[in-house]
Amino acid sequence: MKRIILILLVIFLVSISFGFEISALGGMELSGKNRPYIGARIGTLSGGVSLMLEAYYPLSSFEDVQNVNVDQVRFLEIDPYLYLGLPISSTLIYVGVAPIVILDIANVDFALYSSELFHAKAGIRFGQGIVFFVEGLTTLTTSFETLGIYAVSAGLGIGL
Amino acid sequence: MKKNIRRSLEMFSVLIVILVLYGCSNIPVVSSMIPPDPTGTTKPTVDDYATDNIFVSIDKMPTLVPIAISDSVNVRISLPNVENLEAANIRIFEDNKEQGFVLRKESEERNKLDIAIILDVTGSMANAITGAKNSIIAFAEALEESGLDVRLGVVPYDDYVNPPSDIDVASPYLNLSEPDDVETYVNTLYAGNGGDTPENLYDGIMFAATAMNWRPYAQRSMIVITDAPSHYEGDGYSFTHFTKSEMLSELVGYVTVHGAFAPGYYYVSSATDFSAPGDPREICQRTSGIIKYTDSYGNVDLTDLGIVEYVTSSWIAAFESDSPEATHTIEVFYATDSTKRYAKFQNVSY
Repeated sequence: MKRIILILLVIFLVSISFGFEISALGGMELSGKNRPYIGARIGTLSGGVSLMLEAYYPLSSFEDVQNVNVDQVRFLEIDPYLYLGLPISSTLIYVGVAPIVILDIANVDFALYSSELFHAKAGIRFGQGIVFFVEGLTTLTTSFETLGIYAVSAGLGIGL
Repeated sequence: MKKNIRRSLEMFSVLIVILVLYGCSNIPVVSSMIPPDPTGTTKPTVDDYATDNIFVSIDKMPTLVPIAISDSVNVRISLPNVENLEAANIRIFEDNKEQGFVLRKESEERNKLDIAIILDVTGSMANAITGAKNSIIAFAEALEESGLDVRLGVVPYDDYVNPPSDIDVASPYLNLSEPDDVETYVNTLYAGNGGDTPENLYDGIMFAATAMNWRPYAQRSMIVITDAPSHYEGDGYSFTHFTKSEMLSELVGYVTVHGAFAPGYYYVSSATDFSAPGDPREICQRTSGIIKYTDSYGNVDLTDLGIVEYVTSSWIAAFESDSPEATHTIEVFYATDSTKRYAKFQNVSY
């Protein structure tokens, strides 16, 4: 619990100091297990270097979106992304990388999924106030080789 | 200047988050990259390999497969009395196709070990209870010497579980506890009566599986100690609740069931067909547990069952499945200059 409070505190302080975005998203793996997923992200995505904490929950099918029972969600993927953004008017083009972290909700336990794998993504965000974004991500090794599994996401949220 | 401060703060935040999260968990994760499958290889001749002293099961410890990552299959390989296992000594075939895999020692990844002892307390088991009393501490110490954090629990049973009907004990069972507490508890047990030949071992196993406070990500084992077959659902008794097939779907991949069976009027050490509905040895076999026989008096020494060696010589091999089959056949070949062992695990679902 202390770890969660510390993480939330860090995110909160950074967010109120330097900007803010909170969004919901959905996406689909394009190979591998071909799972759809839902997620949310919160952080300071903006021009330059920024940080977002992102949560993902893979599903077995799109039909399951309606049947997600929050009480039965045991694990979440939590990725702390480091972004580099390029603002063009009200549009932001960004790339980011994150270690892959698994959260066991019931036991309040975290684990780095692999010390040899990380996620990398590129995306574009439109608007200010209400923001819309699309992005693609893949998994890379520490040798910068992709596992060949890609995913695309789209999301909507509030950004300052 | 302001930008530099901001960037420094953000980088510091990232570092804090990563450091806090890193390396502080028991959640099963990938410790290394799984190499590609070997190509152009042929399967060794099975006849050249011994089939004893090797136990293979699928580890279904729950976790989450992250986005944009392929799933891995975790095969538990136990090679009693093998202290150091190199990946070069192991070959794994899934549906006749050789797999690339990573190997990690289970006790180094999961140092928590929970063991439930399912103990028949009917009259003929007096020697087994005495043996459990006398060996429980040495058994726990032997496991802890290997760096394991051990908890033990006890479920006594006859035709009934929680509480058994033929003896009167203050606590009907002991949840997973420190070994000293287990010794104290076992000292309160005694053997009594029994009635008909079968006892309700299956309810005892399922009670332990559901009622014990198994620790998250601990290795989970049970030791059944009995001289009788089990009642089962459909055998005409109202106190029975489970068939073997129902139990296997709940147990396989999640717990290893070892057995110490007292030979006599039901158990014969030369038997190989364990398919009778009341024969618990099939559960041991299907969960890749050890099947051992006591002497004819039922004397049990927990340190002598081979479970310590089993646990301390277990490895997890992770590979990526690319077989389209619904159920799979996993074959494991272990070969050194002096030893060759082989195990086949069929009808596996992931």
